[in-house]
Amino acid sequence: MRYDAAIIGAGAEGLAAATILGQAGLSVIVIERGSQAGGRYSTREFHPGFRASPFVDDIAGIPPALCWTLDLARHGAIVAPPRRSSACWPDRRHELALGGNANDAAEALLATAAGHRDAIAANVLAGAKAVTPFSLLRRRDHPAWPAEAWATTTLDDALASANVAPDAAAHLAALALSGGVGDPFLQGSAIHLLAAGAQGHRLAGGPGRLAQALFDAARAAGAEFSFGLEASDIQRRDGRIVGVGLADGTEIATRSVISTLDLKRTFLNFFSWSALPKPLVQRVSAFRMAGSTARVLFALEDRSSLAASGAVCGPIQPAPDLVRMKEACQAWRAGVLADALPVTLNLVSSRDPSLAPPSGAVVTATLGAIPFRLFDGAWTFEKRELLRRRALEAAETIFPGFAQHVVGSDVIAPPDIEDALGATEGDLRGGEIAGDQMLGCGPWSEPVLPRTPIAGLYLAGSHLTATAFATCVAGAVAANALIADRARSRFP
Amino acid sequence: MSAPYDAIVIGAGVNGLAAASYLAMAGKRVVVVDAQDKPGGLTARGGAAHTLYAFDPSVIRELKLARRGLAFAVRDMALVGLRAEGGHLVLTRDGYATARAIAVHSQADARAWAPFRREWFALAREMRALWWRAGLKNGEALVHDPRVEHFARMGAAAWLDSRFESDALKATLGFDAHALSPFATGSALLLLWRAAQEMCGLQGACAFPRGGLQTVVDALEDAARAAGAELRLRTLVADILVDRDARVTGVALASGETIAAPLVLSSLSRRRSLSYASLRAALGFGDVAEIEREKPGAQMAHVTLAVDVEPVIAGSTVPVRGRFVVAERLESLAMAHAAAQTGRLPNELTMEVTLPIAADATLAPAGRHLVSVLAGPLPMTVEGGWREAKPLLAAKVIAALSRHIPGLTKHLVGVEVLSPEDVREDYDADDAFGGGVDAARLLADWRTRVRTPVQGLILCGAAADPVGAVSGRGGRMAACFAFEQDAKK
Repeated sequence: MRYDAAIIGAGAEGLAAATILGQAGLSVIVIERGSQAGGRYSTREFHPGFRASPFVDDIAGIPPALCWTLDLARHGAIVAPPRRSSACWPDRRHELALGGNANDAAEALLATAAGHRDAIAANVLAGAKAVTPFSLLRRRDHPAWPAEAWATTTLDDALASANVAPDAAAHLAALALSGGVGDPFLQGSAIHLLAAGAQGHRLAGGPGRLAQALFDAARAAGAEFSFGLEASDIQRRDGRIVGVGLADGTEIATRSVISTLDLKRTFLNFFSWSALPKPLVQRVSAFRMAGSTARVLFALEDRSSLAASGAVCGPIQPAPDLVRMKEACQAWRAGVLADALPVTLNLVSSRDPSLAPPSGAVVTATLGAIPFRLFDGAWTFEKRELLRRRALEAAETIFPGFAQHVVGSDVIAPPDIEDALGATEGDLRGGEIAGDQMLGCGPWSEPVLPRTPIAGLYLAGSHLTATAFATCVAGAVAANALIADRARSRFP
Repeated sequence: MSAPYDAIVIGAGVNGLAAASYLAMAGKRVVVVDAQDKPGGLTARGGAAHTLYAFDPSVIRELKLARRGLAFAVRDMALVGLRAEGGHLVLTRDGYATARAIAVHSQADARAWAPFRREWFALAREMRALWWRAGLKNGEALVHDPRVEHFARMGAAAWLDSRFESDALKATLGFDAHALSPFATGSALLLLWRAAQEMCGLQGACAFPRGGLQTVVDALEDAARAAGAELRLRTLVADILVDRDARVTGVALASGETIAAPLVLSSLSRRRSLSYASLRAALGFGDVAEIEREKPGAQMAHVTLAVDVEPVIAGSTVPVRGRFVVAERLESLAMAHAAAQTGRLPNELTMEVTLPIAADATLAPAGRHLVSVLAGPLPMTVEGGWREAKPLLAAKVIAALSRHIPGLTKHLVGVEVLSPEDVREDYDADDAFGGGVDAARLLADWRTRVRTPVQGLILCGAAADPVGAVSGRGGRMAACFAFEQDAKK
């Protein structure tokens, strides 16, 4: 049978797209190479009795309207906004309330960032529904993008001009750069502020619960699934998509494809380069990806050592410092592990006790500025051990005696993320956070990204950098664009 | 009460002299005050540049500088990337020869060169509306042009990476954006700004005046004096005086004398100009906070090496009348910027080298040859102080250069280092470039660069230019602004 749409990847974006298309009465198949849906939102046992999500602890927010459309609450996923984040220095500590009322300059800046994110998501969603033909030329009279001013200033200046106190500034910068990389003194780095407080939305049952709820919603909407086989190519005839080839040689007939892979994977994997327009290949290969995240999961047999710091449920930034972030960024560019890696600690089991045995605890460390390619070769066991040690040292400064209670741990380096999720260079945000890549200046100078120069192909991965800080938006945008284009009978 | 002068110009540098000439030509009584004992400011000392690449052609024409002795020994210096492995990259105006030179490093880059240069220079020509002429109306529209917006948010590294693959080409081109790290947004605009300039009627050219940069100063001094401007040298300004409505009334000199005038043009940076005591008192809290936030940008040091034989560049053949860029990779530039921001000398020094004697034989002191090096980016204040760092910097420069000029150490007879701190202390200036550069300054309306919150105080120095350079444009723009204010009255 011929499907109306094939969706490559059963992550949150793919499932959201499948649900929306299914609800619109289209026949949809979701192609997933793994054995279950969820993508980065999965929870697994990394040590007997201890479970954690290997890639992310929290999710980025889902716009309320989208929660409603996807009927998430009925399927058991209730998203709670983030509460607070703390930064701990040896002699002092700083707390930031995420969401809620802004009490000081730093929280006001967080609120501004949240406002910009919402505005961008709304902009992109509106753009998808509007029936605008794809064009390589941008309209001249486009409205200004939110956060445009941040694209050309330094993070340091943006914080200083908002009158944020030094401790709060370091904390805010650490929050914005958490798990990523950026030089706070480099012009254009203020755009990272968009990411401040974007993550941290929690779900009862962890991120895996969201995947389950979305999967249920997609199935309820009538989407079909194909598990265990990787999509290998997108077949075209006369400039039209006719189907998706699978790894075992079978072909799924369809007229339109939504790819949830990132920009580079989509174009450089599914098509032979010679079949694509040359400028497109050039622009796609010039798109910058920045894998910079590594994760270390710790299983603790005794949670008493954690009690010292009080009941902490938000992320903890150990001793953030702007100059050290800058040095880490320089080291990252050179392919070296910095002396002081930016670390974010998360006591995931204190929010969700089901992840650990009754007296135990699970702590995750998210390390930033981790190069995908090291200048001295591959990611060997020793180098992974080094990451583990760095994470332990950071945890030890906050929770004295931490190391003695660790019974098991797992290290996830950027190449592991690439292998597991298919994200180029292990970049979970789908591209380097930079003004020229994000704000209406994607690889083809088009403000709304889901449509591509290839008719019938839509992008829904996190390459949609403008929506990299929201969950399910990219999928919904692609699905809406597809529906709008069908309504114009672009693909009879 | 009528003031004895209509305008006071602080600083007899290139911009100060140009501004004074324009004002005097319009019939104003102008006095130029300068603390040094000869005019020329930083240009005479070689603080900011050792070639001319951004001098305003309208200043040459309107002030008749060619008639006053400004001539060029080299009209278009080739851009040469000196490579450690010896395959130097020579970029000239000849597209075919350049493509052939690039092909040694990368075939794909050779093919990409012609379209890239065409696009680069075409957009740069359009950008002149914003950067060149005072008061053009379409400058505003240009700022909102999608292409320009795209460049404003892009780093030079991103732009060059998207077009070229060889480090040699990218680093050589990227050096011209050295006022910013190549990864910083706005550095792509710096490349455009550089290509928007015109010397000797050639777009994006780098020229060498006959007799060195001193010729420019002499010609401008002649122009200013001929127009009737008065020059008071060895005169240090202690304060700019304002009345109760924050209007300028004149300047107080260090000698205790005051000069009254309703208009003061300052060649100093915005921060320095507005930090005179009386102005501080007159400014609001918000203005002061904003000025204090301004940070100096990347600095350059001018190192002059004297040798007793003609320096010869080893490796593949290069034109001796070129400018030689030593930067292995774009990352070298980025690392140097990072080092500069944390107050250290970079491990790998990036620099631009010229051989002034090869360019103009009349410059030679008997039996000597010169190697002029503009090294940077460097920090304004370095760990341990510049007194200790100067010999270190000279040693680094010599070490880096002796790879390319064999026997340099053996024939070395003299070294002179002009550090960023020397510039600051000798010239009472914040830096040689009128403050840090960013995308906002590059795209700002020209009036916002010359205007100050104090009525009657206009900036005419490097700060009035989008990027600090020996241009004379700051002086011209400031004079234009003064005339415009006059016309409004």
